[in-house]
Amino acid sequence: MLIDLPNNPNSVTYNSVNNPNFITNDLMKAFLFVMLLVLTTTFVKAQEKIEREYRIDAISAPQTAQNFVAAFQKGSRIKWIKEINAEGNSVEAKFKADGKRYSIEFSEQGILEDVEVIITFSEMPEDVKDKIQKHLKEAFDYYKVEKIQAQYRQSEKEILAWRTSNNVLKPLYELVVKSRNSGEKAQRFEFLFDTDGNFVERAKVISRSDNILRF
Amino acid sequence: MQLQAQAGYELGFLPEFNVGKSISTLWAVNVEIAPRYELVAGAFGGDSERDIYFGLLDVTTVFERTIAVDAKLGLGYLARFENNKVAHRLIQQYSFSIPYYGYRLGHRFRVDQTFTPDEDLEVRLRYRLSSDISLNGEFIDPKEIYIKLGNEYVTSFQGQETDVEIRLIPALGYYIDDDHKLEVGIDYRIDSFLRSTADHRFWVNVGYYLSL
Repeated sequence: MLIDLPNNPNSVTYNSVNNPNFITNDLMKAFLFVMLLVLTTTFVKAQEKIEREYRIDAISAPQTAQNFVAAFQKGSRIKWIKEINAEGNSVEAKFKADGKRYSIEFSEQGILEDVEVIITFSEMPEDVKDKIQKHLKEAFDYYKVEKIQAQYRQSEKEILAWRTSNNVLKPLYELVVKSRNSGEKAQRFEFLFDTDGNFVERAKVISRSDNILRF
Repeated sequence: MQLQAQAGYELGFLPEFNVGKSISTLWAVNVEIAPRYELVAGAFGGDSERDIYFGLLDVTTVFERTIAVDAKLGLGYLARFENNKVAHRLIQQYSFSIPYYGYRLGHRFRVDQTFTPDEDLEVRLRYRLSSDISLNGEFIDPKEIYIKLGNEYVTSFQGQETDVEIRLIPALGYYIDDDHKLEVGIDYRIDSFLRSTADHRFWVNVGYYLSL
């Protein structure tokens, strides 16, 4: 096919057979059109309400939360995180102390919700560990515990007393578990067990898409 | 007189449009359209040629099956349109990602076979390590900017020849939401350094990831 523009002194004759770019130029126009369409959709989507978490300065955290963290742990570098959720906003203090990772969650008003510390199975009482493992063995063909957190939901007073003395304080246990049952899609769950290792609840963990790491 | 070959370089533009879609609980399909425009080519310390032209177009389709929580097997086909010729590439890949606090690591093992008219079959073994890093908090949240780093090693076998290519791919991304991500970065590739003077290629990369 020839395209000739004879009235234009600068006209160029294109030959689709000899010009390798002829077909691809059309493809490129289509590509740019699709990109434009997608970016427009993106702009519209970006206006929607979203849930997120982000770092904040200590000074932006509620004063009562700052006071509690200061009483709980001195000398650690504290990361303050604000979480915005559909269920309500919260503020979290994360830090490392004595080789362990702690996370203390407060309401937006600074009311303590819980203190979580990452532990291993070996730090659990034997009977609690056995009960939890039995539950997981019965629930799945295969499972792997990825994270265990001891979760303290007691009052500020009780938690501070436990922190500063040898008081025993029984935690709940929150586990992140990778699991698979034959014929089903492998899934990740967050489990909650009570202080004695009895099952309380589980929720499926929705992971962010990782297509940007695969392609 | 001793002649010393000069390292060559190319600079180009590489937009990528990637669309993913779940087709069942375990299966998904991913299609990527990636044209390449070459802008400048030359030798370091020597002549260079500035000539903006369309180099090629890659259209890749990969079917993926989830085999574990974070692991997938993929089978794919790439059609490369270049100089009035079409090359065909078969792709097999295994990939998995591991979440950490503030970042994830993605591992991709890929084998591909390329059939180009009038050329020997080319077989390549590839491994890519990539990471998306949150700049604010534990996770990358909607409307946040993130960093993505990639490093890939590609060994190719064609006829009697063997070559190794190394790629470094730093990018800045904008996480609009889980279905829409925009990335801008550099895709740097070095090859031919085993048998002669290295060739360096720099692609300015703009990528858009859409999940349907």
